[in-house]
This record gives sequence, C-alpha cells and structure tokens, in this order.
Amino acid sequence: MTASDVQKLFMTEAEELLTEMEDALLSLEADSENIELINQLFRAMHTIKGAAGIFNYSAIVDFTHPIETSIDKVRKNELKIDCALIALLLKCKDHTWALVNAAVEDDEAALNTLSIQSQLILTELGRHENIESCFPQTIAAEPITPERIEGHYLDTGHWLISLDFRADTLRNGLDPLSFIRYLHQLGQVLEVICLSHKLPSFEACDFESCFLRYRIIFAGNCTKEQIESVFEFAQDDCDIQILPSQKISESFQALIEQLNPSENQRLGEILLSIGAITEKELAKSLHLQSDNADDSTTKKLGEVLIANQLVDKPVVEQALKKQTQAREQAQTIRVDSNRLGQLINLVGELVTASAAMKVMVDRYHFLDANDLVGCVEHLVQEIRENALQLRMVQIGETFSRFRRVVRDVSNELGKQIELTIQGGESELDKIVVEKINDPLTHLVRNALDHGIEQPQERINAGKSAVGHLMLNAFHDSGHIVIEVTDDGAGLNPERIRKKAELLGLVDVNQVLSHAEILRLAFEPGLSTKEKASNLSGRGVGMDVVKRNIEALRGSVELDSELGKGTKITITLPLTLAIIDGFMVGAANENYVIPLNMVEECVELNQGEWHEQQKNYISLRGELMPFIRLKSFFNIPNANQYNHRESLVVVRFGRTKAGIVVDKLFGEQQTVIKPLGKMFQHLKGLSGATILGTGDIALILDVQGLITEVSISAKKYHHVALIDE
Amino acid sequence: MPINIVLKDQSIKVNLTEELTIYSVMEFRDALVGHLQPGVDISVDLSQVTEVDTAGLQWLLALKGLNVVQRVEFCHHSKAVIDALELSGLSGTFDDTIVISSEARV
Amino acid sequence: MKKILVVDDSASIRHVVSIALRGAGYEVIDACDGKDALSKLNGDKINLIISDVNMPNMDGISFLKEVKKHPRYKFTPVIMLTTEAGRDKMEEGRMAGAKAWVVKPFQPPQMLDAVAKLCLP
Repeated sequence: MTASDVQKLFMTEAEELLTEMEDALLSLEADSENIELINQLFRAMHTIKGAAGIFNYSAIVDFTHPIETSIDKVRKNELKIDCALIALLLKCKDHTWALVNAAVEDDEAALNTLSIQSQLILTELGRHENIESCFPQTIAAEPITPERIEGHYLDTGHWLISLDFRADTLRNGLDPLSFIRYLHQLGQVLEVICLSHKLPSFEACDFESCFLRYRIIFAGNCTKEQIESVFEFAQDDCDIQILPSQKISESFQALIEQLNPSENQRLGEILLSIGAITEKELAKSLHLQSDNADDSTTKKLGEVLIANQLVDKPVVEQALKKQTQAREQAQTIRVDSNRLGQLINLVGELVTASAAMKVMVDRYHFLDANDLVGCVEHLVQEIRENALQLRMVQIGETFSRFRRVVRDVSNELGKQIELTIQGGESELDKIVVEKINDPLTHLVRNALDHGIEQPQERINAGKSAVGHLMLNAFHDSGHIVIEVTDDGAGLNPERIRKKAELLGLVDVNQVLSHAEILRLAFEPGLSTKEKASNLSGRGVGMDVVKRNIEALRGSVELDSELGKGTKITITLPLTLAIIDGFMVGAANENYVIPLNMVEECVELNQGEWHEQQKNYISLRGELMPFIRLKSFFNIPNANQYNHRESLVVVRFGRTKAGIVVDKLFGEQQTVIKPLGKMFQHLKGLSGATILGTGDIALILDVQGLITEVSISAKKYHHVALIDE
Repeated sequence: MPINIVLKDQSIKVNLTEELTIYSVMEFRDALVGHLQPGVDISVDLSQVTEVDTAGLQWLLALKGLNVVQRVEFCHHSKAVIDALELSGLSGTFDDTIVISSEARV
Repeated sequence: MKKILVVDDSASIRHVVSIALRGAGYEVIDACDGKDALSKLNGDKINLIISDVNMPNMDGISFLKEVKKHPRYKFTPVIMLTTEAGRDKMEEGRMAGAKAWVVKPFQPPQMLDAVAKLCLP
C-alpha cells in the first residue's frame, strides 16, 4: 500500500526532525547546558507526536509522548541530561523512525514487533527518571499477538496466572482480591479458580493467615511484564507464575523466528526481547542457575526456565535454534559451489602462470627476481591449499545416511545388522563425496544382501546372530581410504574361479593367488549369487563400482575370507584438481608422478640397484617390479637420448614398484587437466598438465602402472619358471 | 456486637453486620464455635455485611465446609458479599445459597 | 467510599496526592508527620495509608511500626514513599512490614495505580 502524498510529507518532515534531533543530541554530549539544543529535541518529539496524532498513528503517539515529557523535564531542569540519557534518546530517535516507517507503510506485523521494543525503551526511560513503570495509564499497550486486529478478545490468546499466596499475606496488609480486581482493569479475566483445600477446619482455623490460592485465566492486550507488574507489591508474599497459552506460546515462537539472528545473543536476551520472560524472571533464573553452580549437574538456563515453568519448551527450543542460527551465520557463509569451482579453476591457472613466470626468470637469469618468484610461488601454494580446503566436507554425513539404509534393508531381509561408523570427520573434496555415494551404496548393499547371513545361519556357523558392518575412513599419504567391512559369509573363491573360467577370463590350468581370484570379482559378468536379489547380484555391480572409483582417480581392493567376512578398501585422492607432482623425464618427454606416491629416487651410478631378469629390479636386496618409462610408452628414438638413468620408487598401498627415468626434475605443482575422451582409457595415464614452458607433461596413473607391471612381471616370471 | 446469634432448638441463626474482614473473623469464629454440635442447622444472614476481604471469604468457606453440623446455609448475601464471591470465583460454590436480598445495603 | 490517609511533611505532595486520590473517588485524610497521623487514627475505617519515610517528629518507619501495633489498623495496606537516595531505607521498611513502595518523584497516575493494586474493592 503506497503512502499518499500527505503521508509522504509526514515522513519527510519526521525525517528532518529526527535528523535535527540526532544532531542536537550529539552536540549536547559536549554542550549539555545548551537550552537551544534541548528545545530542538522537544520540538522534534512534540511535532512528530502531533502530526502522528492527526494520522491516528497511535503507536507513534504513545511512544513519543513520554519522551516529550522527559525532555520537558530536562527543559525545566527537573531532569539532568547526561551521557546515558543522550544514548537513550538516540535509541528513541531510531525507534521513532522505525515506527514512522512502519506506520506509513501500514505494516501491521512490523508495528507489532516494534511495540515490544517501544515498551522496553520506555521502561528504560522510566527507570532513568526513577519512575517505576506504569504502563496501563501512560501507554496504550500494543499486543504481541498478530490477532489483535480481528478485535476478538478471545482470539488474542490467554495467560494462566498462578498465584500461591503465603500465610502472612493478609497480615502484611495485602489481599488477593485487590489484585484480582486490578486484573479486571487490565484485561479480561476469563476465569478464576480458587483453591481452598489448605483451609483448616472452622474450629481450628487461623483466619488471619492466607490459605487460598488462585489460578486465573487472563486475556489482555498486554505483555507478560505488564501482568507481572500487577503483582509487584506481592513479590515476597506470593509465588507467581505467568504461563502463556498455546496461542501465545506459538506467537512467541513466531516472534523468535522473525528475529534477525544477531551474534552473541544469549538465550535470556532473546527471550526477554520478545516478552516471553520478564526481567525479574530472568534475574531469578540466573540466580538459581549460579546457586546450583556447585552441583555436578549445572543446569542450562533453558532448563531452569522450563523447570520453573517460566517459559515452555517449544519456545526455548526455538530460541536456541535462533542462537545456533546466529552462531552459524556468523561463522559460515554460503557459497555457490559453481563459484567455488570457478575459483579453483582460476587457482589452477594461477599455478600454471606462476610456474611459467618461474621458468622465464630462470631462463633469463633475473637473479633479483628469485626471491620474488619464490614468494609468489609460496603464496600461490597457500591459496591453492586454502581454495581446495573450501571444498572439503566431512564424509561422516555420507556415512550417516547409511544408517537408514542398513535399518531398512535389514528389516526387509529379516536380518539383524549393526552399523559402526568410524572416521566420519575425515574430509574430502565435495565432488568426490558426491560421486562416491553410488559406489559406496552398492558396496553396502552388497554386504547387507550377500555378505551378512540370516541370523539362524550365523548362529549355526558359530557367529553372533547380529551381523556387523563397519564403515571406516582415514587419511593416508595424500589419499582418503574408505573401508567397508562386514563379518558375513565372505566370498567364495571357488565359485568365482568357476565363473571366471566359464566366462573365459581364466584358463582352467592357470594358477592364481587368492588375491588374484578375488580381484576377478571386479570383472563384468561376475556375480556369484545364484539368485539375483532385488538389491544387487545382477552381475553388473562390482565392475561398475570399480570403474566409478577409478574415474575418480581412486582404486578399490577386495579382501575376503570364506565364512569370516569381507573388506573392501577404496582409496581416493583428496582432491581432483591440483596435486603436488614430481616431474621426471624420459627421452624428451615429461611426466609427472603424484608426489605422495614417490618413496625415493636413486641415481644409476649409485650401484644400489640393478635389473634382475626383465621386469624385476633389486634395490638393496628388495625385489620389486619395474618399468622403463621410455620403453613402456614406446617413445620413438628413445635410444638417442642416453642420459644417466634414475629409479623412482613408487609405493601404492602395500605395493612398491620402480620407474626408470632419464631425468629427475623435482617437485612441481600440477594442475590436472583431464585427457580428452579419446584418451580416457589409455593405460598408465591419468591426465596431463601444462608446464610453465608451455610444454605438456603427462601425469602417470601410478596405480594403473603398478598393476600392469605386477601382472606382466608375474606372467613373465611364471613363464620363465616354467621354461626352466 | 456485629455478630448476632439466635439459638432455637437445633437451629442457629447468625446475623452478621458491618465488616466480615480480617479484623472481625476471629471474633466471629470464637462466638460461633461453641455452638457447633452435631445435628445443628446453621443459617447465616449476610444482608448487613458491609465489607468482605479474603479473611472473610475464608471464614465463609470454612463455615460452609463444616461437617460436624447438620446443615449450613447462607442467605441474603449483601452486595459486598456477592462482589467478593464473584471476584474470587467462588460464586458457584455458594450458588445454591445466594438469594439476592431486596434490602441489600451498601 | 474508601478512605486513605496521606502522611507527608511536604504540603505540596500532600496536596497533589490528595487531589489525585479525590479525583479517583477516594476520601482523603492527611497528616504532616507520624505523630500527627497517629492522632488521626481514631477508630474510623481507613482502607489505605500512604506515608513518606523522611519526616520530622516521627519518621515513616517508626510510624509504620506503631500502626502495626494498633489493633484497628494493623492490617491496613501501606504505601511508603521514598526518594532514590533513600532506597537504603527500603530494607528497614520491609522488615517493619512495608510491602509497597513508590519512589519520588512520581506521576500521580503512578500513585493511583499503586493504590488500585492494594486497595480492597
């Protein structure tokens, strides 16, 4: 609803007056005796009040009137203007402006919320003048419930006022009847219940003592504070509780929701600001809290408030929620994940550019620039780490989702399965987390479906009826390792082998190790479950899992013992975008090995290693498979380049292998650029990177290489043995 | 004496005048307590009660709650009595015995 | 009509309070100090007493103690008046049985409010 021109005029005028008021207040700080400034203050409030009256903006009138009165007192030298009062009046000025806006915009909801603040500010003002609050007369109270406008009293929600008078009440000159009568003036007394069960018999009764208690249902356009003030003189002689009805409680909750979460607001402050508790109640509760501070069970303020029936539970919970919201908001900021991705891309470019700059500086021997370059490199490194960190999330949330899965599936299958989660706080890249969800789900379902047996079966096998499934995550040399372990039936190597033979993957006479047989389970078409269940077992599972994990530049291993259980180990890189690499050269080509897999480098002339047979190398007596990079990649004219060779020992998991290279270049931040679709399935490579020189280096897929190397090495060895 | 007690056979007629407040209730109690016997009917005329406070209400309640006597009846409640009963939510308790006196003073 | 006794050594205060009370329908008797007030307690019904604390001859708290001994007035509600500076008297007053306090300076409506809370209907 747009304000009419006249109202606009009012608003403009109010703005001017309030600005004048603020200026005057600020000047008064230095010049508190200045009559002219004080008059300015008076004029501001007086004029706004008058104008507001014409428009029937009662909220503004009711608020400005006492302020005008106070300023008048200052004028008459009845009240001294000091820093506290100036600060208070500044608050008044701000609040008046808020009221003006709300009134002109006809914003009922805003006026309702503001009204509470009006009360609070005026209470402060009253206190400042040493006047006890007397709201019923000087301020037309604004209600806290949104239903005020309907005009139905009963819709405003009601309060239960509980009055337990003490024995000496009457002797002290107090009488419940006078308070009840006063309540009738304040609002609607819907019901009065008199509890007289403590009254002794007629013959023995001391009628001068008070035995009566009252429970009163009260409805009124007033705040809890106002109700409390009715009994201000009875504080010592009566236990008073003012309980909100459901409606009022709900309106409290709504008010809390509307609050702007402001940092560091304490629970008490939040509740006080909406009128759910009064100052006295808060003080009393804090007192109670600190009284019991020696107990081993220190209660939280919220608990104290609920226990003493000062606020009901939903309201406290809402306030606590708001607190958490504030804290979270203060500590976190929402970021569009696309933006984050862009940022990380840019960081990648920055890494490349920085490398290029270094190359340039080296090439032209800008010695002076060395420090600068080092500094830039270092900063870029930091930025890179921080940027990547932004995308890290804990895997715990993913793990937790499986609780539901485990519960539902075990119910469906009639099995008893307990899920243990460890290492949930391990962090990894958000994208990895998202992409790992499907493979993980499949593996979990596998364990639930095929792995863990029916309770009876388990008992027969001497196991506990309850099966165990564990999800574990931890970091290991630049990777995150996820283990899915179950104590179920395990894989049957016989079956796997038979199936593999059927599919032609394995020769009948072929000798395979236990590990090799298990690895066959990842081959497409190999599901040993006779009956494919609803969940899994169609034979498309494990190979898809493996592929998905490898697409993430991770790897998966299987370990199982028939009858005992299965453990699946997934290893994933912590990030997909940028890695620390170790650059090596083979012939005239550059390659990057992920630094975290590099164990050591040994130069040829050190005599610590020599080739044993074709594919094995012995390093200080330790045997390991190896490849010669330039041979492996069939680099043309490789022998033209006869460099002194070096051996890079890489380790992945438990496996070690050697890579013979021609040159060792050193550490290199590597921004991973994916290979084009055409090259996705190249063995041994997981990406490429652009060097500072503009050249391209291929990133070695160490896991893939090692596997290749191990298999071919064994093959050869085997053949060699047989030949012998 | 603001309390007037007339005894006749098994009935006691009590007439209260002036205040039924903390200042008079003990006196009223003491005056009446000796006459409380099993089988006795008590009728209390409240038409001349000028003021009632909580102590007075307690007196009325305690009297009403007497189980040693046969019956307790209140009549001709004055305005002061009615108002006090209403404020304290006790009108219903004394409902059967409220007969608005045509001569209600105050 | 309810009757209120106003005790204060300041004539202007007595005046302002009396006018406010009378305007609200109360009958008012006033006294200038504790002694004077006691003399006004002659057996007639008094519904409420408003008394200042700092008065010559007999101060408010002593007056209150005397009232508490008087069989006819010992249960009368009392409102004590005090200044901000005199707040320390409040504890003493409380011990003597003063339950209601109004701090000077006060607005008449505030006084009427306090009276309404304590005076029996």
